[in-house]
Amino acid sequence: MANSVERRNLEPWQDPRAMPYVRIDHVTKKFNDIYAVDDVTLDIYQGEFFSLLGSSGCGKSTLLRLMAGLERPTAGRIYIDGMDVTDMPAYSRPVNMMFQSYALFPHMTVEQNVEFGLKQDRLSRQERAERVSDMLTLLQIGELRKRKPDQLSGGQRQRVALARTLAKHPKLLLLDEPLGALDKRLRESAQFELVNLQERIGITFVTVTHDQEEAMTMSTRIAVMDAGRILQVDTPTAIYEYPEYRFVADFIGLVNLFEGRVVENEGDQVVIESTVGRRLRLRDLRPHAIGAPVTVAIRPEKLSICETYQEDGVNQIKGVVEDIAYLGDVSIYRVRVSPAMLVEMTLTNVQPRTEQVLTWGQEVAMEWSPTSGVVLTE
Amino acid sequence: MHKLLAKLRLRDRHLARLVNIGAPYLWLGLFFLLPFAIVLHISLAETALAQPPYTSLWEWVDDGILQIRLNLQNFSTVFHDELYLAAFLNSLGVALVGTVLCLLIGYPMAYAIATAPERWRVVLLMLIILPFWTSFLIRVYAWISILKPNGLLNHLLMGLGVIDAPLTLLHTQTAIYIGVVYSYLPFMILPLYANLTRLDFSLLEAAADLGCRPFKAFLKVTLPLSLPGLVAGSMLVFIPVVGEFVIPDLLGGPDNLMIGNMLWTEFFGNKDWPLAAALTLSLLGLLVAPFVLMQRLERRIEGEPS
Amino acid sequence: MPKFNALHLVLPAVWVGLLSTIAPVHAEETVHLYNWNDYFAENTLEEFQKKTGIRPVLDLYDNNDVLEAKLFAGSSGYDVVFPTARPFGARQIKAGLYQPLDKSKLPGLDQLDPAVMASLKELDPDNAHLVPYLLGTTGLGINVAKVKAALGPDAAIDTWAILFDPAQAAKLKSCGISILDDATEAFAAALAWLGKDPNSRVSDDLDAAAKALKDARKSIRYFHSSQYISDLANGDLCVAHGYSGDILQARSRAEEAAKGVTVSFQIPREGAVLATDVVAIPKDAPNPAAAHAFIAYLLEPAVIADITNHVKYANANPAATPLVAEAVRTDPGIYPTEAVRQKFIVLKTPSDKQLRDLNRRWTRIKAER
Repeated sequence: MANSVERRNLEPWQDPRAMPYVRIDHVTKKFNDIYAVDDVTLDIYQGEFFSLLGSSGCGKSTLLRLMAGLERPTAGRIYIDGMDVTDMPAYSRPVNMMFQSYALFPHMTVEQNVEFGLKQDRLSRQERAERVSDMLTLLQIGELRKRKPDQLSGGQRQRVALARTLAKHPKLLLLDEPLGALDKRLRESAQFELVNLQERIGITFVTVTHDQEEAMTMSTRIAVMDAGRILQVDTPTAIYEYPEYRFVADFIGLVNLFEGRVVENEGDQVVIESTVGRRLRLRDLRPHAIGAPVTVAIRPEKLSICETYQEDGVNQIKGVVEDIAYLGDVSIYRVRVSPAMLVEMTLTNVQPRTEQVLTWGQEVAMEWSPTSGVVLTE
Repeated sequence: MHKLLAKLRLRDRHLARLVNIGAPYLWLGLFFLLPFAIVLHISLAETALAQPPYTSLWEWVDDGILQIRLNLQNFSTVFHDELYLAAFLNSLGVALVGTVLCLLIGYPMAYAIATAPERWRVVLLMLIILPFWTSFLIRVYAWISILKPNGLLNHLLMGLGVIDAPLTLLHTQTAIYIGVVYSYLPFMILPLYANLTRLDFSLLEAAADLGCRPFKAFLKVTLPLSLPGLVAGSMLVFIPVVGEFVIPDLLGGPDNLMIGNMLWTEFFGNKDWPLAAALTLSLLGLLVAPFVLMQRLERRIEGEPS
Repeated sequence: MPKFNALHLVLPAVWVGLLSTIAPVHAEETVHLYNWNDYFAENTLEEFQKKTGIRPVLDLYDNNDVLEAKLFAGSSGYDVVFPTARPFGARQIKAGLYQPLDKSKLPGLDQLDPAVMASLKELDPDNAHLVPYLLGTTGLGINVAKVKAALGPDAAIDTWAILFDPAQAAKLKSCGISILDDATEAFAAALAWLGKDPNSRVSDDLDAAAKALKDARKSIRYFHSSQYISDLANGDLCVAHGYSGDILQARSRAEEAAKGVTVSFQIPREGAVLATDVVAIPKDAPNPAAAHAFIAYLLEPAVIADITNHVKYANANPAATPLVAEAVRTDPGIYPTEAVRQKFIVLKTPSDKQLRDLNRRWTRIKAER
């Protein structure tokens, strides 16, 4: 019982009785004739670290700006905490946003920047001072309080921007590419910091990112967007293991995509004849029409070297190693299986590199289990 | 031979550097310090019925004695005669009001142009600059025929039935302000425009996001950030208007007492070049001193350790 | 005569441009003239070039002060200039700005009106530097219909009272009064109205004149020395204190426009300033020979008669009078009757101190201080 309660708290979207904190209801935003956001419906729950993931121009930033009130939807409604905020201007919404450029006021000191939002609420001077110093302490930028933004490094600016948005104690924090302006090393540590911060203060975060690794690391759930639409909303694990669309599978991590047609439904499995001439068998509960075109997605780390290769073997494929990418812990092998197709296989480097099993030009047979791939129809 | 060439080349390089550094100083010397020295020289002389109409400052008296006569009377006249002070204050007043009017009209215009769609900006800027293609004097004259009792504006207003009798517009203080605003507005708009196009509009979004209403966001963010453009524009309007002569002469009423007209009277009417020169220098001093002070102050604020 | 008019700072460039397009490109003899605006006949310069082959280059001014400033600064580059004899010509001779004329090159000189020559001798002994050019008076330009409507049909209009009687001036305020922006002229008019010596520099007299001007000031639309020409012609002004030629020009323009505006030039019965404009050669003139040729040309009766016809100022050449058009010759505004001439005021040259005092008083009057 205790276990079930806990699970409900961690994954409120699994609970049919949970009230979404943000509800986006059939929202469309058109710029001239272009659909930036196309009929999006989405629920985000209290305490979530929710990521909107997609390539640039997919509409993720517009969706965020719609939540902030910086854009008005062409159609649809937006609710925050049960209240219809569709027509509420940005300055009245109980929401704060951290801009990609940070948008720090260049003519104000760090302290004044952080205090800016508080001055808009009628807080006493003392209360404001307390909150500012709390925020500066929280983000460890106390010693920068008298500096102007142009005297700060990228990482310091990010902290100031975060302090400024958090100072107002918003219920919902929107972050537009929060780590985009940081260099790679800084970004990785900042990811963990951001997650820790969110867990500590317990407010709902919605971030926009184009970096799938960042989304995977930080999020409770990810919404993958393409061309103004949300394709899939799920936990990072589900997005990775069970993508529902070719686009999603392709966008997140490395994947081998086999085109083919359904030959047979066999209980909880489906048999597919692939275009490279091999038969694939995968676990899939949906009944597929015979001859229907499908795509099979198999992650490179799910492949292994096949000791028992057969000419008509199922879930087996043979080719020549064309390329090896040595990443230290693992190596990625690119295997030419047909003139038109390369298959990628990741192997853990158990042995030192000099004693590796495979080398360039070597013929290799690979196999996988029916449960380690997904059948995609779209 | 090679050594000689190298030497020559070295000398050339020195020369080039000298020219590079010297050019701005030469410019300053030729077009500011030299005229300034001439004016200063005249201001210390006495009037004379001669060509040129002032005395020489120095004279060789016998036995190799150089006698220098400096006449400080002119400066004392300038500072002791309340008429000059009145003219100066009036000029400052006109310049101040004119600058404020230009600012009130020019700021929204500059803002509108800066925020207009890209393809419109060029057109709108052209419309601001276009009047410059006509001579300044002709344009001020055009205002005479617009403002005079029998002029276009009065005809229009009477035709529309707004007024029954012609308004007295020409030769009033109002006409001076119309002329000043019309002539100097572009000098306010252009620096402001240049400043406002560089404004990061995400700052305004950030302000709105932090709970700031649009007007307050303007006051707290846009206005302070456009201060350099605002100061540049105001100086470009204020300084020339203080010394403005043509507009008050053509559009102003008989009671306009501006320093430009006083200078005209001293120079042309009284043929008192020394006094005119002293007046010019005093004007320069009174105008430049506040700006220098302001700049010093600004630098001190900026240089403040964080 | 007239004072500053900023447009005329632009005009010289236009003129020079025009003339240089007409003239051939090759280097030829030129004579540089600096004259009042509208102070030649239309073809005066063209005919001179045809006759002598010397190309005239004309710059314009509308203010003696501007001319004087250029002469005092030196190296003006002009060969022939046209100052008003009093007080400007007189002062300029004292400052040694002019070169003596070579009378052998000016054959028409002895035909000139002996009375005018004699009067000029007072400031230019032996008539060594100055040749009289045109004569004008300073009087009143009146929009007859409007003034009569305001003051009554029987009101006298040939009097300074129109300007200086506060009751009359107040009635004319709304239809517009202008006074020349020239201290000497304004004080001379006010002193004449007060019945005092127009050349008086006595403090009491000047105080009285200043008071008269200050009283009038309330009803005056502007002080300006050339703007009244067009305003008078358009009916925007009903009384203008101005130069005879300018007012008569306004009269012609009003006639041409035929909009029912009738302008009349009046020489006030209390007396009016008579001005003689003269021709002179600056000391540093680049081409004195050409300057003499041009002056000799102006001394030809036919030439000066043509100019009088055009600019409506009388000349000092009796031989030219028969050649002047009948309408001009008989216009008492241009060729005043003997009775009127008796009351003409001839200005004396003020000393520097007097001039400064006068200008200072004038500035205060204008600024109402």
